[in-house]
Amino acid sequence: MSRRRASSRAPLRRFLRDPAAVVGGLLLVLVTVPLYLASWLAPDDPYAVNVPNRLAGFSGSHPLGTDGLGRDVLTRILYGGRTSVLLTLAVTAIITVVGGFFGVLAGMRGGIIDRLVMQLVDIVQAVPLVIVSMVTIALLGAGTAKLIFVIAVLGWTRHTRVVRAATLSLREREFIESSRVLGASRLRIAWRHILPNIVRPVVVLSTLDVGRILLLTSTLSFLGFGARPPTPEWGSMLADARTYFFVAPRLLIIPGVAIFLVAWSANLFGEGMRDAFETREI
Amino acid sequence: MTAPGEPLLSVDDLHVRFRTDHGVVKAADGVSFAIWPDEVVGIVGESGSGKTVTALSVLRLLPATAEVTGAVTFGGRDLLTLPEADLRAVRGDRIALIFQDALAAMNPLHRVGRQVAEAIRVHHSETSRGDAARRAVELLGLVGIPTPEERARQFPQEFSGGMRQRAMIAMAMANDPDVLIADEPTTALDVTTQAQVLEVLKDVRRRTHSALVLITHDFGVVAGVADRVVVMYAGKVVESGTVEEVLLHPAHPYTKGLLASMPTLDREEERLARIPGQPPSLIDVPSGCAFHPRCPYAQLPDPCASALPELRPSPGAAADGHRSACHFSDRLVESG
Amino acid sequence: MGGHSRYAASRLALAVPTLFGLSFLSFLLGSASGDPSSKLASAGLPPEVFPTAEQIDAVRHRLGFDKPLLVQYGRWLRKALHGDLGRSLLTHRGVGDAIRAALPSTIELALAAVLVIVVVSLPLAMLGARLQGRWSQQALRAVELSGASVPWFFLAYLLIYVFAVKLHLVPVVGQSGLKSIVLPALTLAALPTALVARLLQSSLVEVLREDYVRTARSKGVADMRIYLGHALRNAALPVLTVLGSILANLIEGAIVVELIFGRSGIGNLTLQSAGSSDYPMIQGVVLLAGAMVILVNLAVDLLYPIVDVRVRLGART
Repeated sequence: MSRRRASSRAPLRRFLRDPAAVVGGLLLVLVTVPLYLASWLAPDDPYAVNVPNRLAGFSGSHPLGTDGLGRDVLTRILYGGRTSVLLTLAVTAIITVVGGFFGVLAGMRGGIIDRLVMQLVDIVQAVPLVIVSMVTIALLGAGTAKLIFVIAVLGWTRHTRVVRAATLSLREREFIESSRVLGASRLRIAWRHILPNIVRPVVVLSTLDVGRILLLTSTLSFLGFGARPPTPEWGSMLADARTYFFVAPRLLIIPGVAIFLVAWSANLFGEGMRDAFETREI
Repeated sequence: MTAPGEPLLSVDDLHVRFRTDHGVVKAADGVSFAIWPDEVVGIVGESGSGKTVTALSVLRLLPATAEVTGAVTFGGRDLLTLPEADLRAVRGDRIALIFQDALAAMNPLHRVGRQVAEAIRVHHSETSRGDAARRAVELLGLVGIPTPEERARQFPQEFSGGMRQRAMIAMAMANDPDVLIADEPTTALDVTTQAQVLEVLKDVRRRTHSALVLITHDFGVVAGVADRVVVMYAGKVVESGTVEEVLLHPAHPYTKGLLASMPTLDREEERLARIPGQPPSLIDVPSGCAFHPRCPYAQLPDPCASALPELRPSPGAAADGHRSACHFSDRLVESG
Repeated sequence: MGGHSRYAASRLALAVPTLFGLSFLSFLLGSASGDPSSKLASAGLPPEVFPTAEQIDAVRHRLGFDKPLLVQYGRWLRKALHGDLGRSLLTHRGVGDAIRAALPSTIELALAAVLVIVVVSLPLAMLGARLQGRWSQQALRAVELSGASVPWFFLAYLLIYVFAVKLHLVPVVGQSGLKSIVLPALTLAALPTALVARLLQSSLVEVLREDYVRTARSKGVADMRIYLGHALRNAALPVLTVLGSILANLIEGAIVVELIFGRSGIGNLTLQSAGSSDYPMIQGVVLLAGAMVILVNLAVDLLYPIVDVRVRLGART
């Protein structure tokens, strides 16, 4: 009994011993919390256009200056972060669930269902995500919901592969066999035995996905296929800032650094977790 | 060049230390011995006795974490301080190594013929690929590999264990070296194949007149092939002499123990006598004589646990003949 | 070599249904762009005149849009297999021609990025391995992590700022000449270079510890020969396994980077066709990009047993 408890604490200890991981975790909290508290922290209204005051530099009332339309940059960063991060989390959540479902299905059932799922995975993985996203959104119109939909539909394949591999290796283990001998149904086995053991690699993969998907959503928004203006979003803010590249480079730098910080801390944290759990298949 | 009467290869006071998180490992602790031309010397000891480390340090093949002091004299030069380029000229050409685990010691992605030919081309760069390949096939045939042309085109995994070992021998003898060092060449093989490989080694020696250093933990291997024996324990030489001297009149308790645990056909016992205990940790070497915790003749605490016995001539032996490092070697020799 | 051809055949066989699935998806995407019949019907008429319902229906029937989806797919596929991808609704040029014209620029960019990756990561990995890289491993991991966290467009502007604006080394935008490909290639190559360098280095460090490297040293082989002859090939294997996905990402990335830098190529084609619901073009572009990914993965799969002999020997080991 005590041995099992000790082994579930060992990853935590390993994690805490890795300075990069701890920094990543702290940074992640630091960076994302303000985004949820945007409405409380923001000094201004993100949509408030104030053209006479456009492109103002750093000042007391506008700590990060104003953009091309006179809107407060700090406010837009905070709200934009909320948009970007929520977008990312939504996609990640959907991918985790869908990918996990297919993975467990393929792993548990095996045989033809496994082959069908993996064939589907091969096809979906071959589909060029960026192109199809662009096309789909062009056809359906821009907007955050549509963006979530498109990326989620095409991005679940990595999860399926990982979950399937984990399920397969678990299936061989004795405690599964003994459950089956005792008459547990497949569903029950999946729920009570497989899922808890898949949690670790899935959590690591999802955390690492956050960075990747944030980059993807902001890239698509940058190209004009994401959040519709005037909704603040880091990618589209960067796109707007292109016109002012020489005049006010900070308008480019600030959202870029913001994206970098969130993605970087998520990646640090995720890698730290991966090392702590010592799962290498990701 | 080696003067007549001088040893071909001489190891003097070799110390090899590794710094680890748990302390300093003394893998070799003052090892000295000499090899004369055209002789076969067996270095015998349990695993961890320092024999492999000694062999590797001759050609400076230990990892960078090893601290090596002492001298290894060959052809009038100290190999331990030789510049890299000169050392490379010696490696594989004048002194060649035959490794223990032939499967791991060969590149799995290169054909066997190419790996043998590499030994040739490194030292004879003017040799064309074709000539080197042909010579490689010849060598494979010389070590008794059937259909060598086909075999040369195969990969190491396609060879059996015995054939792989022969291929390694072929690689080592490619340039007619003066010294062949074989590290446990028969350990991973079954008894029949062991005998075959030993025959190949003997045959190779006959052709090339190289000296052979045979490293093993098996006295039986040594008995059939060697002229002289060096027994090592815990990184030190504890006995040395001719095969007859050491096998028939062992002057060290460890040697006696090893001999007693050797299975022979004419023994009637049901159980083999084993040396009790475990080989010592090389970080925490026992004080005094390193063998004392396992020695049936030990007198504790003095002198066996306090004083380090020197390697000195056995009673009745010449100064450079049979030597052993035991406080009570005279009593051992008496009791036979 | 029989084993190899069997392996090759099985890989090919697996790729085929994937290609079919992809083609179906491409077709669907194009069809989802809506029924162009009314637009096509009004094409031949003067501007103020609207086509009647019968005219629209006639067009629809003529082009086969009234048939069930699968039938339409079949027709499209058959024509595609003969090389006929239809005509762009926008330019009225053949889709195949348009793609052929746009493709070289994209491939050029991807290849330039590959060049950067190879030229930079190889020496970096070898140097790191030589230094027995514990801290160089950490350094490369840090670079890779940062690279995975920087959005392409941000990196692009950073590079533009440093190299074009401040240092005046390369033009800011533009298509022509060698110099204009430098920044896009660097942007595209940044992350994969760090990834490959790290992977290669850690793999090299392991390989250099192997017994057969020691054997080569004992034969007197010089260090450089050991790297080139023994270590690199063996160390490249783990990199090969991820090569397929690296190349696939490179192809997609090239398209995005093109758009960022305003280069012409498949990216531009996609943007245009998506924006104007040019369904044949959409179908063609999606099919092409996906097919490239599948083929690249197939090529890597086929390459692997050639490099790693052990796979070829399979069960016999």
